[in-house]
Amino acid sequence: MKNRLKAWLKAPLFSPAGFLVRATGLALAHAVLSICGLREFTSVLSLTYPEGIPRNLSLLFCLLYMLTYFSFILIVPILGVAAGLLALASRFWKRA
Amino acid sequence: MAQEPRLRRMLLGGASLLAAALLWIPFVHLFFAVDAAPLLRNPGLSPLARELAARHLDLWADPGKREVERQRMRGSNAEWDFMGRTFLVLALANMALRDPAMKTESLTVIDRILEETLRLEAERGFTHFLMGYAKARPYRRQPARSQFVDSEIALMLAARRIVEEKQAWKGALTERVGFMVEGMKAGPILSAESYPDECWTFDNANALAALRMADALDGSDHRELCRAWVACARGKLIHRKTGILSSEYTMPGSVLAGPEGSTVWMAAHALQLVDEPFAREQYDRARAELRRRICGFDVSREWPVSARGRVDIDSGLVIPVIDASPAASGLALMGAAAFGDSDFLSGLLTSLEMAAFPARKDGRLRYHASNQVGDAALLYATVLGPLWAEVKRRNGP
Repeated sequence: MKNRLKAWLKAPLFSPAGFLVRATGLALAHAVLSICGLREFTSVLSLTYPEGIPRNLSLLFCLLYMLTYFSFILIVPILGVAAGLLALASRFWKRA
Repeated sequence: MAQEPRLRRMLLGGASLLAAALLWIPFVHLFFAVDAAPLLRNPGLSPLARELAARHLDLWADPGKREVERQRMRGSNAEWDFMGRTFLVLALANMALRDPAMKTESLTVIDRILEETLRLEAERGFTHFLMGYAKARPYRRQPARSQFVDSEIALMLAARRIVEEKQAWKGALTERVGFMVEGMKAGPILSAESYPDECWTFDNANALAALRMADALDGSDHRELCRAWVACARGKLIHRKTGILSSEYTMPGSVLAGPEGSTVWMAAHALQLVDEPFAREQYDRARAELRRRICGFDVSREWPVSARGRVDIDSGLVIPVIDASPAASGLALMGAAAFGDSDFLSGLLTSLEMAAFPARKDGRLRYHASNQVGDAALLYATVLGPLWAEVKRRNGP
């Protein structure tokens, strides 16, 4: 099981496993930031800063959250679909 | 797979990513889609409006929470504290007209807002609701007044009285109308200052709307001033390339800032009470120049492509690449709702669901990426209609 996990994590970027590992990583990053409450910092988009936190730090948290959020809704599904397409293409290529 | 030649693997992988992006991106909006048509058709209160209103009513019932929210906004812009009140009062007045069961609660909160706003203005001066530079130099016209403050207080007072007459507010509205008319007539282009030697289309259009509301309430007649203002604006304030009203100008009429999304959407809505064809023309031109549709999501630019302005507190952040302005997009919701533009409104609400981070809790809705003034503007966009219709009905053709 451990070896299998290691093999997945070491899978090359342009492989179905490589895509899925990165998609999982991005999704986990978004989940962690959401659980930590960084969503609150998106008020910086309306130039409204949470009280008691330096503005630069609020901006950094906002950017980090936005980055993982848009990765989650755009890049994670693309990586997932690409993994499926690549697996199919590789199988087809091997048969041919 | 590991034995596959590296180049072939990269080509296949790249092609898979490209195909996946082409398959996914055009459909992302479906996960956030909002259909505005039922909202526009609904003569009562939509669930969205009720959820948004619950958050504001909660804020006005809890002074502690309200103070935190006020301080957060005032830290960036004192105007937002004031505009949040105006949008909320206008929204509550519309809600009371849409749903009689809401009337008592709406009027209670409206009166509380008006009392507090007038008290703060009396105690701290009108500059309490303005940005710091209001005190940097003297106003051209003395004694100094701000059309921004006068017009929105007049809108609030008139809205309250249209829902239900209250004698205590009658004198206050008459006084405010006097200030606005005097200020407008003092300038060569019939516009009063909001800041020292700074007139704003947003504020003067609101002032005209408030005058028409006062006409509906008290039998006065400001039609001639309205006609003259529109003629002046057509002659001196229209941006040549786009046909959209400029946003900011000096009292003598030198344009300081061209068309802006954070001005024109609200101005067009206010002008619906003044000159409906002109208002429609402004909305249509703004829609053509400022609307941006990207894969099913709609946003508003702050400036037309041919007339870019400078980023300031009114424009807010402008998101690079997609050129979207959250402030202009928020006000575009109001414009789209006011002109019954279901397609644009749907796209804007869809963007809001995706990128403004809604948070629903105990029947209350707020948007993390927004603030009280943004949420109040959105609430107003979801309920506007009956108040303007009532003013038009009372004023007649």
